[in-house]
Amino acid sequence: MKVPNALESYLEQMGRLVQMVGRVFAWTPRPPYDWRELLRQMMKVGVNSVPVVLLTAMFTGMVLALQTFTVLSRFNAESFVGSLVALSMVRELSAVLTGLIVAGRAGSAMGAELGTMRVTEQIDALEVMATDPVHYLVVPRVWASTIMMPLLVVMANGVGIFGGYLVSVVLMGANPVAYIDRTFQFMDLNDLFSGLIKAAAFGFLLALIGCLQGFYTSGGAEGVGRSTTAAVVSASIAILISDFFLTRLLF
Amino acid sequence: MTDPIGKIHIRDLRKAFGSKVVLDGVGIDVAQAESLVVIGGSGTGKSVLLKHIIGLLKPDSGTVEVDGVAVGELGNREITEFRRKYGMAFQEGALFDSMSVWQNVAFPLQRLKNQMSRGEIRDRVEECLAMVRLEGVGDKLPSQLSGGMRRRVGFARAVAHEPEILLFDEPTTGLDPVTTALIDEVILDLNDRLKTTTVTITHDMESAFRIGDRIAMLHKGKIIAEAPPEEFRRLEDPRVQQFIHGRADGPLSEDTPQGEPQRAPRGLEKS
Repeated sequence: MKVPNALESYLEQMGRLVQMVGRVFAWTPRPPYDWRELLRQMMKVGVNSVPVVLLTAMFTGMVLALQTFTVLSRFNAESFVGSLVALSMVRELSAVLTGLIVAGRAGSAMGAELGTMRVTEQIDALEVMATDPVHYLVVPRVWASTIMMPLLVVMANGVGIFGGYLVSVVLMGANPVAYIDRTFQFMDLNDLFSGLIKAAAFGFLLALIGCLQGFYTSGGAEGVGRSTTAAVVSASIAILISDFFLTRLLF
Repeated sequence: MTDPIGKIHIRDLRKAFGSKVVLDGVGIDVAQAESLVVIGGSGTGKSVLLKHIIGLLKPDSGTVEVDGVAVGELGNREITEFRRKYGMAFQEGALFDSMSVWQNVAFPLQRLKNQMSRGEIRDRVEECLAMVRLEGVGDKLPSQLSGGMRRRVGFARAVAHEPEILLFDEPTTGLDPVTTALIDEVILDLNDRLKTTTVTITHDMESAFRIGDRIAMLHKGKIIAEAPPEEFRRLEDPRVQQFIHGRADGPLSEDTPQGEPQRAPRGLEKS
């Protein structure tokens, strides 16, 4: 049977993805544990992403407040702006936006780094020196990203809510005490956790896809460029699609 | 000189990438403690052959046996263990960008020799860097070195753990003649002292004659000639003679790569 090319390459990609997930889980419990590399990757993925994540969350919170104020005032329900901003950030927007930003920053870097290592035979060199490249390169990156994403999202939540508060209180003249009251009135821990679970899932996905694209790079410098782009594009799509299913699943 | 005990047996090895046949039935043996040099033009599959010996690539058909083990059939974890026997130097060095030169050379020692102490590793790294005349560059990053220096560091990294089998992918290409001679001496010394089995790929005929116990020529995916150096020099095969003497005209230049049909350059058809 002749399989069309596009379908064949799609199936090949999916096969590689599944295989990579398997290898990551198989290698994770095996020593040697490279804690220092894990920390280094956590710095790269997490700590270095803090400014841009906070900036995004701040403005998203501010825009949310402006928009919901305009819309809710049509129903005389301005007093619920605080609730809406907080729930939107915590349940949905912090995780997705942070995921997209980290995919652009760190996922692309993983694609480029592993891609360069592939085309300069560094990955072969690892294998030659009895070191499994998935164990050595992919495992720390994937877990660093999975751990750091929820932490980034916690910060994004706080800053986003603060942005909404600023706009409402300073620009719209809302009562500060009432606003804060509304912010937490309808929120429970489930809202927070579902956002954090999403964040961890996005972190896992974006690093896995970034590494996968890099790992199977071919074709020199041009190939590295392709892998880097593909890392961002496919990770972003994966985040958006899995977001729907996770949301459906978690509520 | 060479033990009669076979170390590497390659039988009817075939490998194609897509529709491009790279190895088309390669068969060759390498004895324990022998130094085999493989020569051949660019793109004749020399690197692909090396990667089969160390199991980075799996054959389409045929076998590669090392110490009686079919390398292509080992599983992921088995091959990782099996590779402790080997050291390999890559064409462009393949140094890890994120590590210093020192860390690069120490890497195989830390990974492959669990019983070595920190002090022993330090001494061995210094020794290996001195061997390729690169004392004092240990703290530099690979990006701060010249191409030739990177190649030498790659060489030092390959030999650091004194493996049983050494594979060199053009270890001296692009090096000045003095450094080339130096690297050749190190290869000879390892061969002599540690009874290392060595397979070296090179374009450099002088080097080939110096370090090879035997020279084999790969052409169009097959071994077309193999003989000890002195004999090899006298082989009558015109392809061998063309390669040894580096002539532009001859049977090798007539075969265009990738199997494209021969055609006269444009404008000359009628002459």
